[in-house]
Amino acid sequence: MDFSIRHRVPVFKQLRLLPAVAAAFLLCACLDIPDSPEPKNTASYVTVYAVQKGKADSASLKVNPESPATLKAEVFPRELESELDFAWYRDSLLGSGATFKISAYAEEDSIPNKLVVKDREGNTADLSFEITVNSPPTFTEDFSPAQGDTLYGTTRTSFAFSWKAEDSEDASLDYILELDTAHYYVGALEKIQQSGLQPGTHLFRVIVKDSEGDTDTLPLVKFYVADTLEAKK
Amino acid sequence: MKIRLLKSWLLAITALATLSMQSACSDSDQYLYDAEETVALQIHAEMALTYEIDSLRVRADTVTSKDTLIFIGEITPNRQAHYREYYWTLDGKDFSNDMNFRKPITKAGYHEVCFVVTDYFGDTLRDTLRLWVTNPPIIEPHGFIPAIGSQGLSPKDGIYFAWHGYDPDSISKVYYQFKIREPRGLAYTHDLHQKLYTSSSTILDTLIEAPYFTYWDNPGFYHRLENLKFYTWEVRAVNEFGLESDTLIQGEFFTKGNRNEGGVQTFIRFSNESLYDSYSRNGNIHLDILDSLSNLVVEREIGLDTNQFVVSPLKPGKYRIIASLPKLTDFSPDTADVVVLPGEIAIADTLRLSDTIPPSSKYLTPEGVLQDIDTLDFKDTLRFYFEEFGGNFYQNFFWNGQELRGASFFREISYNEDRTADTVFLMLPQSYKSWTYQLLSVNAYDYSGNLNSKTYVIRPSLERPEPESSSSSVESSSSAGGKDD
Repeated sequence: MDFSIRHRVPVFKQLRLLPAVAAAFLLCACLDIPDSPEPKNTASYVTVYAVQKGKADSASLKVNPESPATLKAEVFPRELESELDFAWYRDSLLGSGATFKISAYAEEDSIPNKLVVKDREGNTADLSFEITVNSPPTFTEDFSPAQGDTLYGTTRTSFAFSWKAEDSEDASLDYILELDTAHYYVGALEKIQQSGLQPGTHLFRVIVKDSEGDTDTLPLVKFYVADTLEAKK
Repeated sequence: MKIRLLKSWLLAITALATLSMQSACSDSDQYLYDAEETVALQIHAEMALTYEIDSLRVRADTVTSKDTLIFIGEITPNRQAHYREYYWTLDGKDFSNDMNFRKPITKAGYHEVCFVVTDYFGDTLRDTLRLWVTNPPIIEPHGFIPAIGSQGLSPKDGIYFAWHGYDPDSISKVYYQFKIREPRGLAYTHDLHQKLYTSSSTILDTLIEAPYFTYWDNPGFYHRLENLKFYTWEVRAVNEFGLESDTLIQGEFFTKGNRNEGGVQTFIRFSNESLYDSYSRNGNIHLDILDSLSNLVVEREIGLDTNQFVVSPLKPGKYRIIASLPKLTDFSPDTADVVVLPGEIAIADTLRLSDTIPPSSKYLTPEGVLQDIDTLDFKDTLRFYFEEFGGNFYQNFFWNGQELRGASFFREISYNEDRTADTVFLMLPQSYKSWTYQLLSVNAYDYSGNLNSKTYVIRPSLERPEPESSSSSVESSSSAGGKDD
């Protein structure tokens, strides 16, 4: 199509051409109108986290084997979740759905380490993860001094403090001893002797932490120091 | 016509000459690439801690974040070589555009510092320096176990030590140098809270990975902790690059005794601190421990290099400790009463042995007779005899208030065997002779700060000159005043 105007064409002829030219422009304009955009349906990311005893932490991939837990797959934006299929794998398919239940004392083989997400068009995305199964440490009843004990001695006397925590996975645990307001990092020691205690009431507590960061705390123990050496055992 | 032709020729020749000169000046050949004239560039990067010529230059090192490093770039054959640009990068990011510069790297960890040069042809040359930045490990000097002065720790049942140490950067492993020592002496410093034990014998010296340690007694150990003794322990943190912590833990503890046994710890201070390092000629400290019935329970001789000691085992009860210096009779004995409890070592009050007696000084006649006189005749050599029974001492001599110094005044300073007495020969120059009375002051100090000062009057040794005229009949004042020249 040639829209150029020749100078030799008389003016009245040019005016007659105007409607045709305008119509051509309009048609061209119609041709350039784009299709209406379709709604965006791409998931930006998918994540997995563990929920146990009602506690959900979007960054937690740690479960206590002593109670059941649920793995939750979460897609963003969340409205896409219903349009996607979730498959949980560990070598082979273990289950499907946006959640996966882990029973108490589950074998390692029955805990998934891969999530495959599939959309309606058959596109898939993989997410690998590792669930840490860790029992938190727990203090035994074996600790000293006991609640309400009286210790006899002076401020120079070294009084013994002992405790014990158990952990099914960890060979070594880290303890922090709280003696009144002082904190002592005692490493893996389960017994120490400390002096400098004035006569009167004192508080003693121990916190244990395993290598996975799980902790337990010994209940606060109240004991007494008496400066009556004659009564010393 | 001929002239015109000649002019044209001349013009043409001039134009040609000008053109040739211009072309010679432009020397455009040098802008042309000539492979034979090019020299391959070489670059070299180094770093140092100081600008000194003899400072160590390295290409890999471990430094602290407080260190300021000097980065040195070199382009050879020289800086005028053809290159387009040079710059430095730190871990791939811009670091500097200077050839040499000084800058710290504060971020802990491994770093690569690269010197980059782009040559005339666009080729890029790189030389990379590698360094670890680390900070010294931290050890908390407070809040450790056992607390200072803990009593009754049993080597057989285990002695538990725990402290808090860590790497502030969390990038390097931390080790702990752990020592147990048996101290013999105690160096007193100006800071009363700081104790520095000396003359220690080391029981244990080990490097451990964890910030805790348990000592278990083992009969196979060459050095063992004994019952009812006093020990010190110390810990310093060291990271895997060899950097030591700025602080260290210093603790003290006492070991446990059998039931119904205790002990006594005693500290001794002398008014003369130099006695701690003095020779055996000053003898030993004599220690008597009496029970409540004044019976002598313990009698000991202790070397002067030991000013802290533990006496054990003792039965629980009241005791009196008497310390004396038998050979240094200027020192008066001191006593301390103490109660010994079962299983503990009682800390007695510090026994202070003081010398309050100054040295004695006497004039020694040429015949060897000691005289306690005030007025002396002028002699070429005057002899003085000093005695002190509290350790070292020294003398000063003053002639009319002016101190006499130097070997020309003194000769044959002799000591007796025990060094409790000195004989000093004072040589007086002939120019000191005068027709007036002169003053000679003799000061003797001991190391406990006691002073014996004595002033002798020296009689006139010259005839009084005749007055020049009868009007000048004023006598000069008798003796005091400055030296008569």
